[in-house]
Amino acid sequence: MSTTAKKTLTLVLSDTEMDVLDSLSSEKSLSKTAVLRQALRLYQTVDIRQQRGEKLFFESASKEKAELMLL
Amino acid sequence: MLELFNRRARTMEPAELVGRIEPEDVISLEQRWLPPMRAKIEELRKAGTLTREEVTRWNVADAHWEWPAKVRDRVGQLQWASHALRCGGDTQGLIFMNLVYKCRLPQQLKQHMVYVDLVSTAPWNRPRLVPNPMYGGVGMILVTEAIIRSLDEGFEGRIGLHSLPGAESLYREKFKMDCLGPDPACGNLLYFEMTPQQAAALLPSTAS
Repeated sequence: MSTTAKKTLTLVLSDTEMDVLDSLSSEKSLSKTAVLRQALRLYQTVDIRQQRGEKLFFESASKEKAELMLL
Repeated sequence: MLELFNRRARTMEPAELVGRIEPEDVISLEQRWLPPMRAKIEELRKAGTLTREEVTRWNVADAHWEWPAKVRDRVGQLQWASHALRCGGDTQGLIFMNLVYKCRLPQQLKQHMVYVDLVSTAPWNRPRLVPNPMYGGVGMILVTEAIIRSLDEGFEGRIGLHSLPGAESLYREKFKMDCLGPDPACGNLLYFEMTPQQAAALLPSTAS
């Protein structure tokens, strides 16, 4: 198996942010680090596509689409 | 230590799994992989037999994948991970994995997984395309690496992929993955998924 060098980051979160991280970690059965890694991947993915001029939409159950202005 | 079986010499040879596809792998692709694959496609075109069945029969169904452009486009994007498998002084296999896709199988619906987007072996390793293929087991090693990556990410070994017709038996019989049937959104290729239990059975020493 290949290895990739990793670096350590100390993160300061509010109680509410930590609660959300705890909750997501529990719901998704992922470590807190894995949740934050996924969040960073998704943030970058959306950012790159928006920089390319693409738009992000959410579709409701009634098929109404709303553009998500995220970043 | 990682090894590949040299079918011609009937020996195991040391191999190296590189953490991401590098420029030398792209050079190998452009200079040594693509010419024989494109030549076979052109041969089929001239013969009027360029069909899905024929490209599968000749083991060149992935000739249109545009690896070099994808390597260039995806560099630095965290959602993509890649590996090159090198042996005998050349690139023998390549894999691209996506890390933000979610599962479709009902028992693991919307859980995180590693999606195997592209996996290819060098043309000189391909039965049918060449009369005496060189290395065997390239695809097994690369897809196994995707399972290991899934475990490392905390996804418990879950992987998913769309299979080219010529590789369906590999995923069904060797990897024992669940087949969810043809996917109209992906050219009706069969979609396969692996569960944590299947990953644990395949990699008993590493799976939780």
